[in-house]
Amino acid sequence: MSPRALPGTEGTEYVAASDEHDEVGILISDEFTNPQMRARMMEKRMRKMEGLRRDCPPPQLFGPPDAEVTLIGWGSTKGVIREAMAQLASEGIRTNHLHLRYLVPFHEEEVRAILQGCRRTLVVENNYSGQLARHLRAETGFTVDGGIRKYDGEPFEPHYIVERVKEFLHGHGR
Amino acid sequence: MATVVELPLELYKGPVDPDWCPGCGDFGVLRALQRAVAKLGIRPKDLLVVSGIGCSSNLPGYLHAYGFHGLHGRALAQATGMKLGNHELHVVITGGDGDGYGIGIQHFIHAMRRNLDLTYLVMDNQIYGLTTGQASPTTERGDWTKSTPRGCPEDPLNPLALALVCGATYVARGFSGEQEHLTSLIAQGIQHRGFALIDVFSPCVTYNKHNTYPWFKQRVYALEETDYEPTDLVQALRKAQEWGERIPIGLFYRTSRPTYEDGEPALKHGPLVRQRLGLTPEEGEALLQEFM
Repeated sequence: MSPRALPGTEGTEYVAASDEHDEVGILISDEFTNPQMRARMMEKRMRKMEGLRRDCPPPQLFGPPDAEVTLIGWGSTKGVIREAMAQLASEGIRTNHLHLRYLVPFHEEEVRAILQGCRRTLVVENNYSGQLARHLRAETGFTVDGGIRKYDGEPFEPHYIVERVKEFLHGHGR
Repeated sequence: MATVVELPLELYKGPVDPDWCPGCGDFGVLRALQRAVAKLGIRPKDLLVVSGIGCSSNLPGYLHAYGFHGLHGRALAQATGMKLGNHELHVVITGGDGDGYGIGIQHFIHAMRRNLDLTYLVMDNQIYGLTTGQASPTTERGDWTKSTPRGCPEDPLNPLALALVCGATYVARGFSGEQEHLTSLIAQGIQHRGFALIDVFSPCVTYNKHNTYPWFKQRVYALEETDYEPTDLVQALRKAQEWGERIPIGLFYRTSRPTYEDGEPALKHGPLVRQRLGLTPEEGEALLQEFM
């Protein structure tokens, strides 16, 4: 990536533009159309995604690696999933947790490898349509075994997750 | 005060020529801005021209200086951040009536209330030109446009009156067809400490067939050629209501009050851009002690 010159620096005057522009800031989106430059600028911008992916730590499994169920979540479900895990453990049900912090760019290879090593996978998410399960499938090709969804306007509570995990295991050979 | 060394006009020549329609009022505004900064000896590196979206908002690309071409209506919000990032820069905002008085009206109001040290040039053509001619906030009642086929049913916004009551400390109106006068208004606006609005009649020769060069030429008169004094807010408000056969241009009002930058403690040690980022462990500890 090009280093950014701060305004006020001698000799590096440029226009930062939101329309497509060349490397000195001249707009090439309408009058001065330049398809080759446009493609190069797009490729240059997209290289940022690779850098970002390298800078962000990939996710890791929390809990016993040989758990019966892996609970997958992102964002605000982290704490409640950990509480549910503790309650399940006290009842002799071993679970682990894949908490995803970065959805875009996505650590597709690392996440696929983790998911392929799990026995059963459940996505815990606070929406109707299973957005995270779909995102996982889109990015990794991996289809999870099920989901614990909630869409009544209230946050998850541990007992809700505990009950759903037990129901799931009851129907899936335990 | 330091001696001003005038700089050559060619210094501000942009990398490409404007793609405005031949005869567009914006050419005169670009020229006047370049002449004003040359006259004031402001070097391109110390000038930051910020804009939103519209024909006139393409202006930063047509002169040599730092520029930022951002989102529709957000030029003042962007400029506020840039000015606070480095308040030693001369920050000039350029845009149109749709961008500033329509989409960005809330930023307009609050920037004036805060009295940031910014210079805002509005190329007011009383139409949305880039989108090929729809009624804007300053289109006159009854005017035919593509979005008002039976005549505009609304009365226009009065930007000068609005600026006066919102606390702008330099309120002026220019005309693109009066080059010397406009250059002087812009130069004074840049020198003014505080928020300067310069609303400029900048005819759209393609889509506004009502408010044309001849229409303005017949009507405008310079306040500077009368005994008007731009020091009284109520007088200025009254003057801002004048419209019709005679339309005043020039400086309506100038006053002095503390700028936003004056009251911002973070700027006391110089521009943020030159200040150290982060805290030492001792400074962090002191903050914890203060607020815990």
